[in-house]
Amino acid sequence: MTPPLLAIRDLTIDYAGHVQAVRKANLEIRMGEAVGLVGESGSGKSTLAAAIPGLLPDSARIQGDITFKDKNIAGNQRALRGDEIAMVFQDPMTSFNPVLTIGEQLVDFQSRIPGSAREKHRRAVAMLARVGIPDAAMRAESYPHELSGGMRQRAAIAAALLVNPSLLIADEPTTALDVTMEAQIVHLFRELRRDYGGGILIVTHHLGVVAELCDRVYVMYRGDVVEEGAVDDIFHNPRHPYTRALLACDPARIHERTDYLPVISDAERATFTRASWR
Amino acid sequence: MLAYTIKRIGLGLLILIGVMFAMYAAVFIVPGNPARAALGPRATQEMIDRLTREMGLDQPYLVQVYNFFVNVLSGNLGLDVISNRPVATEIWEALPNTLILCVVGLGWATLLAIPLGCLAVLKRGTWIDRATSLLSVSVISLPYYVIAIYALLIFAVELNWLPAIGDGEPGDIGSQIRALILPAFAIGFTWVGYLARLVRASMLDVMGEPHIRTARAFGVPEWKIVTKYGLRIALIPTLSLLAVSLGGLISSAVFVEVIFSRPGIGKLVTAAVALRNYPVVMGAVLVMTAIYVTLTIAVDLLIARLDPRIRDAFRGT
Amino acid sequence: MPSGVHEILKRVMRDPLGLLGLVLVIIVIGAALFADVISPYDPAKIDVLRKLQDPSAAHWLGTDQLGRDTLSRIIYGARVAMGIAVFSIGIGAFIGLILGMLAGYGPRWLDSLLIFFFDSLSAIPLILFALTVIVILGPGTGTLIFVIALISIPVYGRLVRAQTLALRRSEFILAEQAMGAGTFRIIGIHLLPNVLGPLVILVSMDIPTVVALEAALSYLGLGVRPPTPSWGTILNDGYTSLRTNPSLVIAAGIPLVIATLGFTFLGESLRDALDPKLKRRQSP
Repeated sequence: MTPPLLAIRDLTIDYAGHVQAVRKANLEIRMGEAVGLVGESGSGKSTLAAAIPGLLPDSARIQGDITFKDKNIAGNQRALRGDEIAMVFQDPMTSFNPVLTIGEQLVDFQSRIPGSAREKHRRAVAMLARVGIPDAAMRAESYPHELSGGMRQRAAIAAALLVNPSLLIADEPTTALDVTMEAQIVHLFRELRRDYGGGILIVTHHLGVVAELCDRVYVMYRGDVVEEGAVDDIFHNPRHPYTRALLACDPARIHERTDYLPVISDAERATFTRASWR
Repeated sequence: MLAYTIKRIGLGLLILIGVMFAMYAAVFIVPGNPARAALGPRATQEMIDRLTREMGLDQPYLVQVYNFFVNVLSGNLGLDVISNRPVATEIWEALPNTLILCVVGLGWATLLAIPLGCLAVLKRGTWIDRATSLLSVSVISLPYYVIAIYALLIFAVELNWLPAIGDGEPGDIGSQIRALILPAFAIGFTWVGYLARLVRASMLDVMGEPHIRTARAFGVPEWKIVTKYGLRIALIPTLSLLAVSLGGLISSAVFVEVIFSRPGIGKLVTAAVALRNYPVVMGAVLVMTAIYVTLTIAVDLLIARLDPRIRDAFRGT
Repeated sequence: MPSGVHEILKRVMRDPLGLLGLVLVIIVIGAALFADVISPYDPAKIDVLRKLQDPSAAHWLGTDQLGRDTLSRIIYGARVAMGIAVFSIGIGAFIGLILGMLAGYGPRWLDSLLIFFFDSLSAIPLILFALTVIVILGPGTGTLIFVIALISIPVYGRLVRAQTLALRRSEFILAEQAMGAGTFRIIGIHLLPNVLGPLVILVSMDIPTVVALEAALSYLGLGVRPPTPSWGTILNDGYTSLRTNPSLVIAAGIPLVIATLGFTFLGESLRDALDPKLKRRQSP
């Protein structure tokens, strides 16, 4: 059994001693695998994802191991950014610098990679075309505000793929997009997976995205990882009460008419932290 | 970009015309013969007659206005009432001194303020930051001429390191530079604090934005992030506020020239005011206002060049 | 309203700089109001035998070139500075308030016209503008007030206009209009109180500029006429006596420093106190 690409053991993240955003989390990703990380707002999933390339604010304290390609990288992630690990952020509106062209930024983002500026520019344009942006060469000279939300997100994905990372982390890649754009992005991801051999981590609260794209999924609730397994298993046989409640809330899974959409009540929530799926 | 440029220049021209009109109409506020009003109570009838003829006051009103505009636009700003020399010439002679002072005064302040502002951001929260903040607030509000006089007292009179008066010997660059130090220092002093504070505030805003995090996530080197990604955006509001304050720069240069007895617009105008030499005052005001308006237009265009969002906001207009 | 003012004052006093500003401002205003009572000597009393003396027990800040007590002149100078500031800002702010509200609330063409007027007025560098008016009207206190008021109009006008424009689109104004409230009622009861806050801050930040301008013009001999003591004239007296005895010029700068720092600190603190977003400002 080859060692996993990314292995997180007993990771605990707290801010200035108050809030524990993540509590003793364990997570693994293998090369070629697409892993989903789901949870509602405040579950700690984005914090966990941001911890991997070391992008948490200074006030965060991290305990535990983050092992990447068999080396503990906690605290030393800077060298891997933009090279081995790449990230796609949630809000395409603000991910890009508004006063520089997309092309220019994509060239800058390849700073870890050797090559002349012209080569990098060529590669950037090629990748923009690859992710489905029409007129890629012209678009590269555009400013972020001149592109639609969907195109910006594609550009962000292009940026991440440009550096050919071993691990691609996508933090809520479709949350800021409307349904049509979301479908396009999901489609894009599925297509790219065929050529992309590295590991993918998709953080989302949208179960549909996970179902379409991921092999395995982790479920988080209030800082704890409460369930883990293959996507088919989880969706058909959820074991943890939170996972069950979460799936029950998904409007796509409601088959009978109801007067009210299901919610997770406070009483139910009280049972989650006590339960364990192990 | 072109549409924006044209619009901006058009506005500026309109304002200049408005000012010119106000300048011309100003003498008519006071009842009676404007020439008499301009020359004051001690003017002789001969002087009044001469000025009346010069100002074209014996002609129909519309003709006067027309003549005035034609004159100004062709560079004729009238004659100095006392010396009889063309006002335009006198201003032309005095202007370079004032401009040099403005440029040097603002220049050193800017060169110091930008790194100071960035430093304050890097050391945010520490005592350095708080001390700089406090100092800038205090220093901004002190009147520049008090600083000028105290500086003159300390460095020129008590220590005798630098000259208190004049602009140095012609041909001797060294003495000219030495004479420039105290006045430029006085002008720039209040600007350093103001600018550093602006830069700091803008940088804080920008560095907290998500796109900075994106750049970091891709391993872009920190120095590049601070300059190309951060500063370039942060300088925009700074430039904007700078443009508005340029008028104050000109004012302070004018006054500092008087304090240090430097030749320049300041000396020219204050002497003219004391002698009720209206054409000189009016000419100087027109020229300085024109310069100020031109500078603000230039800065606006520069900002539009730096921030594509502003340019494009005008596409629909 | 009174409870709001009380709350704001408390916040200002909690801020060390604000407290300092408040104290300095009270000193200046106090000197202006109670000059007759506090002043040790008659500021106009000439005693040429005792000219240009260093600070001593008898004359805390020394004497000027005509033997007059510097401290007394400075105290009365506060009255001059504050008096001119109050009048000129009062007039300028009042007119600016009206014009600003007209611009913000009235028809578009009026707004454009007023903006053009504001921009033209502020396109002329301050001192040059003042000098122009003085050359036409002749120097004097009246001219001074006129000039400063004129310069202030666009400053206050713009602020009021911006506030009015912002409030005009806000929902509670729309609600009032929907209920049929008349224009004057809307302006008087709703717009005005919201505009007053920023206006007060602006006044506090503007006073240093006005005081400095008045002193500058008086320094040039173009402002207040002697023997009325203005801080500017005292500064000029000090400047001319610089080489004989610098203590006069040093003393002359002090009230200007106190006044400008005081009002600026107070203004900054007021601005922080009035900004609801900064309520929980304590953590860095």
